[in-house]
Amino acid sequence: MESKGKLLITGMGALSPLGIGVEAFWEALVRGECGVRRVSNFPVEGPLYQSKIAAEVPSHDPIPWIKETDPALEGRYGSLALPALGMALQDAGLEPGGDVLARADLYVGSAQETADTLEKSLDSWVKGELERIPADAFSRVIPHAVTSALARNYRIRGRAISLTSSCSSGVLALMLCTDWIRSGKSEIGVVVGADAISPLIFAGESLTGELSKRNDDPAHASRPFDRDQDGYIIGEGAVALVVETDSHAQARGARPYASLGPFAATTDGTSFRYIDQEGTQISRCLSMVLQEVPADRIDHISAHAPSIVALDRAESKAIRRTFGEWADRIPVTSIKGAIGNPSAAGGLLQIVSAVLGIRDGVIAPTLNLENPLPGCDLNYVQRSPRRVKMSTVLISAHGGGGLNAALTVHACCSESRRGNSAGS
Amino acid sequence: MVKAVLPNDVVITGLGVISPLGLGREPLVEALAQGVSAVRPLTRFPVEPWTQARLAATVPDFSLEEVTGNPKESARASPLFKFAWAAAHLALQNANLALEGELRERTGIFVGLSWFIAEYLERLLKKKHEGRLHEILPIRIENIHPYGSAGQLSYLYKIVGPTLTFSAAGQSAIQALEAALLYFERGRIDTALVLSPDVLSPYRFHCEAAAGLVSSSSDPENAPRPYDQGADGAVPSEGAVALVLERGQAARARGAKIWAQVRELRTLSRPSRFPPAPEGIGYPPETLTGLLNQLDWDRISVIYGDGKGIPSLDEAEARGIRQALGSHAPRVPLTSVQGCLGDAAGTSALFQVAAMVQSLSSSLIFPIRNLERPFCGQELDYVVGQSRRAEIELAVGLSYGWGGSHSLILLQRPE
Repeated sequence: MESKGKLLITGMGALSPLGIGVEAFWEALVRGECGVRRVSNFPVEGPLYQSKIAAEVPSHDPIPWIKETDPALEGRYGSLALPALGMALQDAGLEPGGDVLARADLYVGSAQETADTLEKSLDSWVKGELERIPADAFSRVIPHAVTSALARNYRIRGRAISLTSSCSSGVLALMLCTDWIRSGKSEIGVVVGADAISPLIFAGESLTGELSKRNDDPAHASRPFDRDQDGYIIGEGAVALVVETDSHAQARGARPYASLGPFAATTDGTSFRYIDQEGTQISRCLSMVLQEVPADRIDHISAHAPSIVALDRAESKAIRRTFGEWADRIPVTSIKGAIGNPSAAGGLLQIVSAVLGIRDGVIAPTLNLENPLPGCDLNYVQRSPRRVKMSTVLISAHGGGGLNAALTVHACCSESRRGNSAGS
Repeated sequence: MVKAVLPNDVVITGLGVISPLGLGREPLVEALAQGVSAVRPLTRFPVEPWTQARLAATVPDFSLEEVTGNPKESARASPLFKFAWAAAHLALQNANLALEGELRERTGIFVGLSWFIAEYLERLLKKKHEGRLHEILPIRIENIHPYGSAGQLSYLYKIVGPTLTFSAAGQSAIQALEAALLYFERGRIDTALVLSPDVLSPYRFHCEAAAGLVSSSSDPENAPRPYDQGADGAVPSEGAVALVLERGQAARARGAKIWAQVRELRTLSRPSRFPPAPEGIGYPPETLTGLLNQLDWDRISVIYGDGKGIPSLDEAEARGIRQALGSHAPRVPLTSVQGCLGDAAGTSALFQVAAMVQSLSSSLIFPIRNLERPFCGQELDYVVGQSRRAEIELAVGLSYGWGGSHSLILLQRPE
């Protein structure tokens, strides 16, 4: 039976380049801090690495979150996802081993999944440094091993879904979760979007010339919508959200942050490296959401805009085409100036910033946007945070290969969580 | 807890198969009907001396250009995408479906992958260590990106609906299928291309062997051995299967051949560690009770089981089926295609669906190869020796994925 009530976000956890925890992320974002620095987790010397900067998650200790040791959680991808999920469950008041998590479904979205672990293992294999592949390599490199280990660690006993759909993996995992709940098959789901930077893929992207080479000025390297951008910044991170029906949340006394509105997803249908600069399918995706939420209810748009000229321009044009002149009234921001492009975590960090922005009445600035690209003519939030009372935020997410997703986040009700001092 | 999707009139109208038994559906059906095995001594790459594993079931070489008629893009395809594209192309041809106009917006692509990038990363890393990475520039990101197959198919067939890729090991294809059915239910799509490719790379082979999952037999005639007490492991395999799903009403309106109706998809998760952890290579038989509960066994004519040839799993499955079926157990035929095809990781579940579809349309149940001393021998109706003729209205498929994921698919013969 279809669930007609609201879908609420009742727990959030995050590890981001701006810090550990959602409040640390949000406060740094509003302050205009930047998480882009010289790469510190692996060497970036030599001709392979024309770009030497990235948005890495600061050091953190996943050990306190481990309840059941599992080799799958020892790689960086797993060690990012584990605490983020634990924080979200704590935030939602959900205890591992409890009845609620025994019924909950787990959705894990990641673009590169265990690529970092696979690369290390393959590295030794290719170099012939290992006499044989260790017996537990299998349990470290299969992506679903991480999903399964997360489910075991927190005693989440519903479905365990592993989704990998480029940088939109986190948002598409959330979409799958909400569709499943709205179809009446479940009342609660937990969504994780996580990605770790893999040295080889970083090198590969660097060699293609698509990464920023502002190695001496990392804080100004990621420049969404800005005419002086020279490429994007690879990021990493992990975000987890607890999503449940309003009746389920109410019954267990959970305090919601916000409610989720309609979702839509489209694909460009273009070759992997080609970006449709008119943003035709991005616009169609946004329009599908607007069929259910009128344009004049949108208070703010959180754009994907990863500091890639063609994509930033395509998204701008798509928003303009979708909203027409009304777009002039809607503040648009991109958080990628501060956090680079943390793949699957990126879309969910947009949602976290939208949720906390609604709570605090603040839109974080688009870091490093000084002079918009030709063709980019929206009402961008530049230089400093903007105070706006908001009820509805539209999220526009995108993934390499032409994946588009959009959804709305809404202020929900009087019993929702109150604001803090961020941005004040 | 068992979760189920009960799609309202979703049918399979297209089937494309690239298997170790050959290119297309026909060689698969002929070989399965005869109990012919695709297992051979592995020759594609060297087998390391430290493992006794020597057998595999690999796809015979074929020309992608001949299948697709697109020389430029065929030349660029990675081994994985070669399988994916060929299967997808054959499925769309089989469905005789013209993806045009608004239908492109209402079509989704749902891909299940298990070992997606090992082969390409292996080549990249070799070049890197030789200091020659620049020689293979530009790196074709679509070949190292898990989403690459879905993205390329979207481009080649101009499909602009939602595209999702799943990576849930042996249940990858089932999660892709489940998402497609959910999207039908939510009204997001009217047509779906569901596919699962997997390629056997040296690293995958040796990882599975090191984890103790692979048969050490050197006799290709006698391995793998689904449900057999003398089995000693799976035989790694590869291939791709693609399905075209449509709303039944639309398929009937356009006069499409309907292979089967998807009646139900059930999943059950009991998260466990991956092999070689002992609890990762077995499960309590009662796990299957919920999955197989409340089915009309008087109307179900066959169970296509998982039957990898890994004794602890096969025994648990056999005992679980017996326990769940109760008095029905001795009279519902049970079979598995893995004796002929080996274990193709995520693709195996769709090889099974392909076999079920053929059984429904040909009234033929394919036999289990190499089954001599079955678990629960007298209590289950294993199909051995030769194919069995039977009027089949409903067929059940059971599959298992590492990490404790179980699923059941129920297909019905079209009216």
